[in-house]
Amino acid sequence: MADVRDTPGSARRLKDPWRGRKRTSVGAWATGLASLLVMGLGQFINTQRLKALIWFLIPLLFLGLEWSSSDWGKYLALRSGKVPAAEMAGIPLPLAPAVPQAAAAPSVQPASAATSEDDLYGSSATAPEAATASSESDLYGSPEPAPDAPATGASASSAPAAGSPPGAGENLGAVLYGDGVSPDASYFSQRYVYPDYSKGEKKAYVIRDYGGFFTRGIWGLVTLGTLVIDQDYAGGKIELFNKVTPWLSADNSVVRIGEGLLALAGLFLLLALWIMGIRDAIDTRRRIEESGQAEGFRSWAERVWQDLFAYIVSAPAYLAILFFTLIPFVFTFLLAFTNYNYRIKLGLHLINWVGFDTFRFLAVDPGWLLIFGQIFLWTVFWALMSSFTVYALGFLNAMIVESPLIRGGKVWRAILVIPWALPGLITLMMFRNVFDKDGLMNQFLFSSGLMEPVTKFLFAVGLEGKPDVPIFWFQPIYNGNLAKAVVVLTNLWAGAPYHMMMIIGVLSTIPRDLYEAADIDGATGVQRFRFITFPMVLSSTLPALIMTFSFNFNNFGSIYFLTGGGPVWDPAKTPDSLKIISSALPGQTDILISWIYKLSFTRNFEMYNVASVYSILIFLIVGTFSVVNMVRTKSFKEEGGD
Amino acid sequence: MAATINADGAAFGRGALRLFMYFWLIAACVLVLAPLLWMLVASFTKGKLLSSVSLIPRPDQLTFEHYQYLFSYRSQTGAALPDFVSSFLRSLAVAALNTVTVVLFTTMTAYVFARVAFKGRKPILIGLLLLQMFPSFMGMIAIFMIFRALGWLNQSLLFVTFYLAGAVPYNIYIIRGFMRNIPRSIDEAATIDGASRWAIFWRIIMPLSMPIIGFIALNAFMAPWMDYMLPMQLLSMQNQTVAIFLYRLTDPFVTLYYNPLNFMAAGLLLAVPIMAVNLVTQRYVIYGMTAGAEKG
Repeated sequence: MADVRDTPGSARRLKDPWRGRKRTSVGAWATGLASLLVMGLGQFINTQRLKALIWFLIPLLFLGLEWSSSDWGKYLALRSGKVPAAEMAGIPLPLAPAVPQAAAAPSVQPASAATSEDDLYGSSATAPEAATASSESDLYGSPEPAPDAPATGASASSAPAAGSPPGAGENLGAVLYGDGVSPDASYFSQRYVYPDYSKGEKKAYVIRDYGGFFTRGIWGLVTLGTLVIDQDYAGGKIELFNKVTPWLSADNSVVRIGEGLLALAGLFLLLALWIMGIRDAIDTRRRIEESGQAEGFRSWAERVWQDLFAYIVSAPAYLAILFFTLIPFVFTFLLAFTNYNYRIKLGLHLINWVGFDTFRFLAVDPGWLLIFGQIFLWTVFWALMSSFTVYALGFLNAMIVESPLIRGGKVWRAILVIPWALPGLITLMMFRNVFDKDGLMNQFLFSSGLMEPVTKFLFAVGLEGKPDVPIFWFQPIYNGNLAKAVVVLTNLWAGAPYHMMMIIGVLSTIPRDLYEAADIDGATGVQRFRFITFPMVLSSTLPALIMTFSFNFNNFGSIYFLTGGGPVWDPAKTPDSLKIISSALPGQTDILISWIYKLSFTRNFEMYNVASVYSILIFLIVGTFSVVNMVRTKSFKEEGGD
Repeated sequence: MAATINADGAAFGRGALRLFMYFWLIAACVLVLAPLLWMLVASFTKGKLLSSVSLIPRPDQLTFEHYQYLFSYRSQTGAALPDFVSSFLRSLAVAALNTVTVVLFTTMTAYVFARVAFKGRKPILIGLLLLQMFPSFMGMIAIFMIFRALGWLNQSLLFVTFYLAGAVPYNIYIIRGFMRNIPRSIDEAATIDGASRWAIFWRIIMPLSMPIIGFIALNAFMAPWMDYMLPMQLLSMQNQTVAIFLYRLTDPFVTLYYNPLNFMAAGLLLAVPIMAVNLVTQRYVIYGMTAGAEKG
């Protein structure tokens, strides 16, 4: 905190009065050590009682969180032998049903594999799903099943149709938790039973059974869980979820990672506070030794408040980023080092840490390498083409609209700018219809009599595989190149106006006298453009152009909403090692990001680990690219060293 | 281009150039307007088949049924509002709230980045911008779990927290670029007059940054309308936003809604106000874009 200083001038920095002035004395070291052992002890030695109290309360707060979220109290009772034998697991209780409902119907069939025919007609609560889904829903207050039924039915039927956009009308709840089933009444008549560690295989996972937020979180992150449905453990039988007797619930590895990350974040905070406490103790001691007087509590509090301003004001933004950017990022990053894919049904199977196995597999397997190579090349080509074409057309339009040779520049501009004002999603879905078999394009070609020549031309230049009438713009496998061309052209329609507007804005900033000087020197229009306009505009829009490139590299929507990745590849040419992912296979227009989407959201064919590896790759490529771009800009260079 | 004649052939050359320009502009305008006009015609055509849409509107095919559908169809019996209207209002509420939160919090954070020198300012900013490059839907599993753990599923208004996280890095980057150009002597004078940091921020920096804040606010207002990923994963069908509703109208797998001609009507109804807002506020956008491009 002491580093937060206000600098009146950007060049001038205040000198830290406590740095490099004196060697740290023995007394200072001693207080630091005391604070290292017990937070606040150093401050106490420095006779700053109030401050000591504050520092002392911080670890208590963390301990309280751990205790209140745990069952350590119950564990102590168990250890001290105060638990009557009747409350131990494995001993039938007269009061409660011995076997809960969900465990009674063994979940042989995994929940997310429930693509039975019932599902097609919209009854999502089929028998296997109901059995595995069980009753944690009351804990989280999940939505009622009925309204979602049509969507679930639709997605189940869409999954086998190769090449169709995945994930139509479903959400993650079904995959992660088996959502959509209301709790079974029999749970509420149960009583807590204690695990009897002397029974069965005599295994004891004490932290798993009793731990709180921190201990259990870290344990879960390290082990990713140990027990799954139907296993015998300590005199009980593990079921998917048991709210009354939590230790009987199966381990959900994904939830374990999530909770583990939150615990880790909490521990990092504690560590940071601890280090701050130690530094504070040392600094205060030094001051006392120098001036013989400690800083009063009030002045300290005021100083910290001033210093904290920067942090307090930006706290909401940081919190949002922590929870919705950073933790998801780390979470996904970690998935790349696991074996999490569609074969793992949470609760029935555990995820394992596999180190770099997925990376190694993807780098070695010729099938995956081949497909990845093709997708990657197309992605780079798409990003370059789409950025270049929109920039070039935008530039041309800007020059024409701003030219003194034409009249009504404002009117033309207003019309040309319309695609920019149109929301992107609507644009893309509109073009999806325009290039439909019955869409505007084919209709126009038919009614103008151009169909024959156009389809022959497209065939002749190799965009179409067969001179079809009507033209199937996005569908058969031999029309891959045509689909790619259409994707780029659609992007041109939607993206050029943005660049036109930007370049018009820049044109007005070019100093007039440059042109006047050029006129005096007798420069032609072409020369004026080549030596003045173009370099001036390019130098100010280059960062934006590079940003467009990285945006298009990840332009999921342009592909997904227009073609859905289609047309599919020739099935005969699909490498064997990729056939397992079936409908998550990329289509010919899929770029990396839209393939990653398919890999993570195609029901029953999710390859989370592969998707994570590819995401990391994208992140490295695009991230490096953009950061280099940004650091090069003027404002970053001007800034000081910190 | 100044109108000076350099050579004898220039007049002829200019004429040809002018002709080409007009030709180009007319072609471009036709290409821009054609799909939109087709959409308009389609939205007034009977049935649910694209093949029944004719290029020139036919009086016997004229109908208002798609617009009627949008303002009458309720998938839930007894729902207070038709599906289209309720999803529209939901998106509107998210957009409005998002504008407020994003403007407030990113401006404050950008102010700190522009005016307070704290350790690690540059690495933090680069780190934030870098994090943005990670495909956001890859974190969707974790985001889903977090929303669920907080009990936030099916509450579209709370999406603003997620949108805030997404907007922060870029917004800080450009607002900060703007604020750095506000002379520090103004701050210093205010400090001498006894103004607190809060007062400086609210009374001086905020009003002076209005052009860039207008740009930020506009972006924040526009972003939620067409977001697909988050509402798709976190909302049930009766809580859908208008983007999801639109998408379902064109998705053959959602039999409840599928009808491309209804999409044409809904798309136009939605596009018109959004386009109007965009066109009216163009000034801010051009300003923001050039600021983002140049100053950074």
